[in-house]
Amino acid sequence: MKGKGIKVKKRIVWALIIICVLLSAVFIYSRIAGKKEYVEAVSESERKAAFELLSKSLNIQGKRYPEFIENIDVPCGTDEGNISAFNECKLDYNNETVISASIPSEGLYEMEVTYSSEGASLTDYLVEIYINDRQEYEEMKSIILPLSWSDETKDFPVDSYGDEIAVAPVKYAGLLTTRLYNTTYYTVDPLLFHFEEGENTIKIKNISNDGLVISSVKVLPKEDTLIGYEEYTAKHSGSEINGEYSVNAVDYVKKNSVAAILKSERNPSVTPYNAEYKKLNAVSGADAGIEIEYELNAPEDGLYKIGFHYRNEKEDFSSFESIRIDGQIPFKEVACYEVKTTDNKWGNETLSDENGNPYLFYLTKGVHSLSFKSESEPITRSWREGRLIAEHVTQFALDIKKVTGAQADKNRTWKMTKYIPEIEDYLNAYEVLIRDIQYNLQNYTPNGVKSAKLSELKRALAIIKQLKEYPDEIALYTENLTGNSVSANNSLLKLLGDFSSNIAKQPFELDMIYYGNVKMGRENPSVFQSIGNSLSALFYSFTSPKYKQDAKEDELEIWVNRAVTHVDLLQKMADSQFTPETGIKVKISLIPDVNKLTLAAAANETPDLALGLQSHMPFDLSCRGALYDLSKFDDFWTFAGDFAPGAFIPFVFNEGVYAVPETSDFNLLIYRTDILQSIGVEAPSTWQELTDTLPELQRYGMNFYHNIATNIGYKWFYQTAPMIFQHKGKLYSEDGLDAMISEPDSVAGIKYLGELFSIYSIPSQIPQFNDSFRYGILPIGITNLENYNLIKNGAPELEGQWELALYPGTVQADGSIDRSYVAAGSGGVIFEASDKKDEAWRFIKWWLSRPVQVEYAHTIQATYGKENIWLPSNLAAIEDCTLPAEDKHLILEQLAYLQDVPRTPGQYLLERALSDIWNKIALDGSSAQVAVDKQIMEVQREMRKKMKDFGFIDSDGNILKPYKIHDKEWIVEQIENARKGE
Amino acid sequence: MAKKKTEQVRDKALVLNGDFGTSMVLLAPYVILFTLFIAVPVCIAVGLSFTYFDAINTPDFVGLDNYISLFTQDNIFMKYILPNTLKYAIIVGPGGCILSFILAWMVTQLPRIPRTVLSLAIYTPSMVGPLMVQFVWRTIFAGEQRGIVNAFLLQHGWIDQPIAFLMDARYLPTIMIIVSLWSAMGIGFLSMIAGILNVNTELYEAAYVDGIKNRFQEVIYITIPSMKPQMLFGAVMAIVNAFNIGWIGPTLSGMNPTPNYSGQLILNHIEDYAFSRFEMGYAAAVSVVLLIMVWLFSKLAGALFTEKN
Repeated sequence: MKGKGIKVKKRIVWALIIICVLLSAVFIYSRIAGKKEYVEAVSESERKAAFELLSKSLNIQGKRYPEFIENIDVPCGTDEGNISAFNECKLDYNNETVISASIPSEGLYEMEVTYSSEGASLTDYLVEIYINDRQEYEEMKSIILPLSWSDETKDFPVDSYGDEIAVAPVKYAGLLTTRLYNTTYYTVDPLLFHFEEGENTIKIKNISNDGLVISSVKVLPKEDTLIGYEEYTAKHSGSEINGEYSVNAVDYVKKNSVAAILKSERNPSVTPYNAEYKKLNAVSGADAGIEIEYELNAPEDGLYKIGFHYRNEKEDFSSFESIRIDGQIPFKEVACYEVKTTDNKWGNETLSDENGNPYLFYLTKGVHSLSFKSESEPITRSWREGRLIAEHVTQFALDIKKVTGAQADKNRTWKMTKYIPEIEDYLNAYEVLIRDIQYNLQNYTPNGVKSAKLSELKRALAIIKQLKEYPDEIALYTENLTGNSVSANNSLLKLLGDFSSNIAKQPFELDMIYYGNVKMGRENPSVFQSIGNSLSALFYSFTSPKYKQDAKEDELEIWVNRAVTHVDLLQKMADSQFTPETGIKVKISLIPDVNKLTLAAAANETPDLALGLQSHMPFDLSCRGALYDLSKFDDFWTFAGDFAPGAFIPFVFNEGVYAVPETSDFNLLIYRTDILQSIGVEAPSTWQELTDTLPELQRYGMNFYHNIATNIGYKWFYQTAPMIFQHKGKLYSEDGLDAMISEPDSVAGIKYLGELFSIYSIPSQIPQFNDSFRYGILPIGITNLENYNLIKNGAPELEGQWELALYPGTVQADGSIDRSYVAAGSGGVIFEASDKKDEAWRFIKWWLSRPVQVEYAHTIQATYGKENIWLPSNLAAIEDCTLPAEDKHLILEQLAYLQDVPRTPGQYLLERALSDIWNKIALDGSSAQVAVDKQIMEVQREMRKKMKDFGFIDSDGNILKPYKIHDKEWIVEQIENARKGE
Repeated sequence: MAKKKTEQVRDKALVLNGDFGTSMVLLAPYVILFTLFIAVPVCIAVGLSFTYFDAINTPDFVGLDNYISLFTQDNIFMKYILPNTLKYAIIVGPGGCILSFILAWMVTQLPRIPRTVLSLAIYTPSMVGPLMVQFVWRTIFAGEQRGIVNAFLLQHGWIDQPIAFLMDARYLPTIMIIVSLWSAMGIGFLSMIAGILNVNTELYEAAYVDGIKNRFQEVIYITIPSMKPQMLFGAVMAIVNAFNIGWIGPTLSGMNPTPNYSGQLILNHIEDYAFSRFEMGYAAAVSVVLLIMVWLFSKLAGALFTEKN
């Protein structure tokens, strides 16, 4: 027994030793691995040659501003240009005005525009500028004219829970003057434009949705270069101020973008803070160009220090801010002042030089403005180089595939340098540029090139090194250039794409500004404060009314099936607008699972209203009598005129309409302009044109994405039905008793849809279209709102490389093109059991009205980020929502083709049958007619059975009460009648 | 008589304060929970199976209609559900059981630490459930060039177009069975390990003295007979599991119903009727049929593994 005890002890000791050794190994490794690393500079001539080689060999030549400035050999102008006779003019979407200017000498000039906003626009204006009918660089296509915003009050109102609510910002209605920048604000200085000597024309074209009034345009010489700090101190003398002064960041006087948002941070080191109620206590923005302005009240003349409590969430990378006092940057050290990363914590920063000596700003007694503007100039060059490589590598891989075909033969000896002699030069150029990026950015990170944001570059260099060893065999390694497969996880395109999108953000969140003798509070709460804070938050969560679901007797009870953020915002808007207007109190709560509604209906516990229901839910509930027929409201059809008629189809049951559409969805064609152009293919307008271009695409190993090819085996109507509609087929007979999918027209549509997969071999299962689109594997496809959003915001490096077009259609006998599509947004319903139906209807009308929807769309995006696109169903509201004007116009055009599937009690079996039929044709290659015939019996029987269950026919098939399928025409007719009646 | 009376009184007192009271108190939690959460729902289900119930309005009594149409009119049930379920249950039930035993036996041959690690590793899949299946198996069998199996087949030139494994009715059932076997090493597997480890080692020694020649005979003559209770438990668990697993098909193909009903099991049929077609009464009738099937098969397993005497 004793021996055994010793053995056990020995074992424990050994185990402990092993653990210690392992831990210390991990520790030492992390120290070594985490060591800083810096690289050498590349020579300027080498870098220039590399850049030139790559940009010259691109098929699509688009000159960017940085190259324009680098290459142009024209001096800066010195005198102001003379604008002859310009009258104030109003520009609507796509309108333009031409101004003539006489310029004293050829040169580069800045421009200044004075403008004002017409209408309710909440987004900044975008204009295109042509000088002498030319755009010398790409950025002239996206010149920004920002709006100016302020808050109505700084005594923030509180919502029904006692939390502070951000008030909607107020737009400055008067004249605004700005020097011109493009949307990404490449440089601290405004853009320079090239003018000839003598008469020049300036054309300004408004490409944003709302009216823009241009009052005056000036052509001005470039502003003087900034003085240095030494010169500044020599100019201003005075005594250092000892008093301590501060401004809270939420007390800004104006901001130039709604993307700078008020936030309430749950952090005791941020002021003001309250554990029980949310206080708005910080301002945050993430894009270059955002400028926030404060007022400082200087008690006496003298030299002031300036400091602030802030957060920069950008992982391992600095943000940059320009500081302006009274609209001017006082000295060049505070242009693009580097604000170090704080990760998830907060930090204190006093504006000071590298050695930590604070800068002293001279202020006279009185009120001064102080502004912070996010800048991207320090990273512009690197960002541009990264993008160039990504663009070039896409084309390079295509060029290789032009030689080898989609699948390079592994068993052949490749001599690729014979076909593309520049292979090695390209690879060298990539390497030079990447090293240049590393060198330029390494000082903005805590650990040099080993920092998280730059790690992609290191991996990219490793890939290039491998590729350079066998340039002739590069045909076999195209995966390493552009692939995104599991095996080639690190392709150059992926790494550089990730890098450019990571680096472009300039997150900056501000809590307090201090001036005078800067004395700041704690950067971050102490451990005890944090613990105390979490405990009190936990405690308040028991008492807060926020987490209760029951509505009081006099409240309108609304259940919403959306994310919690939507519920909060809707409650706030209802509290601040609807309740004061109508006196109806509203309680909005979240239902995570819509099936709860069925159960609630069974238990007779329904709310008054439910919002955010998928399109099949209203029918399922209404055919069982749980919903109230909205068309019984007198003004229903007048109200319905604000929406796309096709959107109502799924909500119709017999004569009644049981829901209103809240949001829309679309199907549009999306395609990569760069790829299609370099293989010489046009974006197709019809399915016929698509099948004609498919062979060319497939030759390069690329393909088309149809939205039926999801990861889910079951195919819904929105995937299967459009092709039937486009072939003029029908799904049901008029009386809803029979399925018509075996009629010749319907079969033709079904057959064509199947053949796209079986004959034209487009892929039948794609889990992530946006991913394949990003890496050029599927450069063209059908997109809905979700994928559009993912591509737009998830792949910012593709900006300008893709476009939308209308959904492909089918040519009809009369030569017209039918672009019918099926895509339903969510809907809102009123319950039969509700005793507040009129109030509920008033709420729906308020909620779906244009101003409320527009405000909601903008607020949700401004508060939670631009990925939160809200696409209203109210057509007028779509015009004012947050998407780019061009896209909105396409969406509106496509919405006219919206044609949802009418519902009948047995329709789910028809949907299922179509799903199985497609499966048989596309995957098993069986003939369409056979596949349809196999299913039709079953469907017919189920439809009749359901009709019997619902009491429309008796067991012998005799009609007891008529059922009528109402299609789009019926809805259009009702709306027309209502209009006439008015 | 008098004596008897006092005895009766004492018995009564015992009933109230002694054994009977104690046993009632001890039984109560089980009885209450069993009644509330098992007996009552089962009775309601049986009751509902004689009605037409659309989940919202009051159920209508329709007698045996649901059962009659299940066996005479439900093409899908007869053509796909029943064959699929039986095929699946027969392969995955006994198959899973046998596999559990073989793996358990192999694992028990190892020293302690690797045995613990390995048995934990083998047990894990049955705990991780649908989420894991979704990520691991849907990636492996993804129907595009980048799916692991497809990429492998394409690379070796065995196919020239990716196969949509999870959507094609020809492949889905096989894949379901593979995935089910992978995740079948559940509680039954643990009980088998316990059973094998519990066999008295003296029996083996005695058997060798009696002339057993190899490990195989050892398993057949000693191990299996000595662990019949665990075998029974493992078998019943495997069969009940095989019938009650409904999520694998829809998880793999993405939604219930599976394409062309190829992976449709009886539980999916119940869900289909209950939540897509809103025919709760019919769904209840199918559940009753399922209950009876499971009971019959468990009886069969019992007959195989319980000691005759």
